[in-house]
Amino acid sequence: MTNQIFSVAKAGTIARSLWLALAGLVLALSGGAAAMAQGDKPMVYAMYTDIKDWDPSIASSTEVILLSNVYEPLLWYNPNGGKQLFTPALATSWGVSKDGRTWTFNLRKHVKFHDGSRFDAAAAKASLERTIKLGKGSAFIWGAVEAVSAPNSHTLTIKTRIPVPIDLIASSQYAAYMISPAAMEKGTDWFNQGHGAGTGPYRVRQWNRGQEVVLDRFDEYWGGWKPGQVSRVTLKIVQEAATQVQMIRSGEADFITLPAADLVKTLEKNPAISVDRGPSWRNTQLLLNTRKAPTDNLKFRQALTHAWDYGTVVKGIYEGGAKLSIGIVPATMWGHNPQLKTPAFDLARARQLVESSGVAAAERRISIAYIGTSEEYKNSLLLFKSNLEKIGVQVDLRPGPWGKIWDDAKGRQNAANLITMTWWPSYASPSDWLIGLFRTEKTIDFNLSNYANPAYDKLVNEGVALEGHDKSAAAAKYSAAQQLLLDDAVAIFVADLTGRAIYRKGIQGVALNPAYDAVRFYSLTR
Amino acid sequence: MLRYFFRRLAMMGLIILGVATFTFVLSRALPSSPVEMMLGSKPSAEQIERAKVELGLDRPVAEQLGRYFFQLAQGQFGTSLRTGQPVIEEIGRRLSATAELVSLSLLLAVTLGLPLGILSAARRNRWADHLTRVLAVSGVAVPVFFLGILLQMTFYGWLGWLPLQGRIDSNVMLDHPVHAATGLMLVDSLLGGNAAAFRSALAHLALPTMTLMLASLATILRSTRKLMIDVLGTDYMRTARAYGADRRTIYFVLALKPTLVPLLTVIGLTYGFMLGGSVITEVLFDWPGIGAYVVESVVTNDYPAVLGVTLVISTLYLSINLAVDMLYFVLDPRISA
Repeated sequence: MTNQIFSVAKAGTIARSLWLALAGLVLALSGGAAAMAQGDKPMVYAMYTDIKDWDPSIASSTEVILLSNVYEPLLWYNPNGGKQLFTPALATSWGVSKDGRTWTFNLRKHVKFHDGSRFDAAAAKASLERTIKLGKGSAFIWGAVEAVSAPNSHTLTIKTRIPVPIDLIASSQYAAYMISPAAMEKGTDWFNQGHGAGTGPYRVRQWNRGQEVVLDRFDEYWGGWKPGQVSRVTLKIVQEAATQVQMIRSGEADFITLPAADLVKTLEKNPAISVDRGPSWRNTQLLLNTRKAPTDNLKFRQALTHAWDYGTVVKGIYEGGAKLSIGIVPATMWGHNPQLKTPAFDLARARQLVESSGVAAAERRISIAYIGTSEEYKNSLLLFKSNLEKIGVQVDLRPGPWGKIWDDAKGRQNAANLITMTWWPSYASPSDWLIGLFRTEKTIDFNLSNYANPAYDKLVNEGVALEGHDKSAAAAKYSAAQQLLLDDAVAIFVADLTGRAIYRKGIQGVALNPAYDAVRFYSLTR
Repeated sequence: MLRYFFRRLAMMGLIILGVATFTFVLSRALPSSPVEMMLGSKPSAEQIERAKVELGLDRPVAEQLGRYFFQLAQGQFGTSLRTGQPVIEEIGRRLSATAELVSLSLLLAVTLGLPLGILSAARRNRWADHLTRVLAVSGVAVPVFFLGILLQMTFYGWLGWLPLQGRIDSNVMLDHPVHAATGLMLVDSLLGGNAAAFRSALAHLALPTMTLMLASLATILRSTRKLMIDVLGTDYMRTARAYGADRRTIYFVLALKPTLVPLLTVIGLTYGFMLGGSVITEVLFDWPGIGAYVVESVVTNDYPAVLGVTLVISTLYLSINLAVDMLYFVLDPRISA
């Protein structure tokens, strides 16, 4: 019994110690909370996923927020409405030969990479050649390049096989960044350990995997520094929209990226938060499979384009987050033509087209695959389904992840008749939509309508050849190509999405640029 | 005992082999290809084909399985398609974050659950019992995501006492870097005498720990109660009472000891479950642990990561189970007889 009593006493002591430890924990936590409130606060940008590809030659997704602050291209594309199409970045002036095939860039002098090495024409040449040679990510944008040369230390020449707009390509948000030669020698694995070596205003200070990336100002940045500019930026991974909202409300985050339309409306009412809306190059469409019955029938497809309630979807479902699409090229991109002849919501006309299509009543059934997590897709498709059922077309809605939808759509057997698509260009060219989504493909990649029209292909190819030196002539070709898409009813052009920035009031210099899915922290003050 | 141990170990090996084969075949049977996801937003058809060849996905499944086992034999899980990092390194890093969170939560759940369970059994059908039942049922009934958000709104949004998400404050990490020895932030900061990092890590642990603890508290509390009630109804307990043993001896020594063996199973299995089941808590608090890693990997069909995590979690679960079974021999000498 003595042992047992001793055990009881010992158990009591342990229990007391644990409770004391709990009390200590509470005390320590209040210290932790106090420590949080102190010190210089960096600019905090809440993003929903970690940086995957650190190699600027390869990265082609959400990494643009890092790339556009750590690296620089030769040119920055200006938001629409700017006096000039470009702002010089690492090239101060540029020009193209009369045949549109030789581009010459005069490079900025006295520019250093973060590792201390000098930026010159040899480094620029090596950057472009590496990206082209690796052939990953968005490297395809340089597909027409024949040779890159450096005639002297600050001149870069790019020769192309056909005339292409190298100035636009050089301002791309992916695959166009200048990289330190020493870093390139270390290779992709070195980058993927969380390293960077560009010429941009910020250098990578620390990467806490799965948590955040810390960027510090690069003191030797060629643009110099003024008081009030942001010295430190934290790109913080916050996966939940509700958490992001709490962080911006409390002031812990300066920018958030996730909230859906209804949450944004609430945030707009908060006097401490700014919500800016501006141009974007993203747009949404429903691609109609032209090889699969019954959407292989032109009249049946045309009927579908008349059964879509364009106005209600944009006003009632996107709630100010989008504008009606006119053709595939959005209104914010050069080459857009508001005069295109577009179908209107007209159920009587749709019924007439269905009846005259020759598709038997029993076969008037279509499948629609869409990304199940999108409320906008879901609600607009429910509306579409209800309208189609009124004209005797049955609809099978198939929500799913993009990977499966895309994989199915590329094949024949499991492809849906319609799939949802949101597209944005790799660089500022209408041809990105026209080629990527609708030009004939031997192996189907993104032409998920399976559209093959030689007349369309010819117009697009001619437009591409004109882009570099005669944009208005190129735009005319693109308009004609878009009208073909509308006449052949290969897609329902749903909405041009609006860009937005949600940030704390008091931050100055925020400008939405549709060419870059990012914030340029160098332009900001607070 | 040793023979039993080795027999269990051999069985464990077979189960793990089965899990590896099953998961591998399942990952190949999934409808969408993972390659498109790893190549960025708009990969070309050529890029996709090239990547499939590079990854050996153009080879027959049997050959791919053979290669996979060869890789496993070398202690490699391959490279994550989503992050481009070696899976084994990522699992190691993330598992330590989860282990820290789960261990602390379980420790707290046991510290609170055991005495409350005993109290509940001792005051059966009285107000203390009803109160703890309400507490336990609430812990199970309230969804983890709701509980987590509620705690975030209270302790971060309203009171401003605790940080909202993450594992440590970024300024603290910059000014007082923690050198990873064990991967457990609290232990590493203590070992390095880094008080600022310890405080920050502890503050960041508070809310996710509390969320996870409340969710598992019910299991331990109710199991303790049930086991105690069973033991308290036995003849020898009546005899002990008749001999005049005091309450503390009855509850904390005589009754608790026989409940420890089954309770240990409950605690061990809860720990194993929590290691792989803390997904929602991790996502909610942006905790860079294994749960969030699993979700991201499954969603993007990152099969090397999914396979790696499945193997590690199942191995851990089986190991914990084995360790618990071996502890029986220590706790109950009758078993070894």
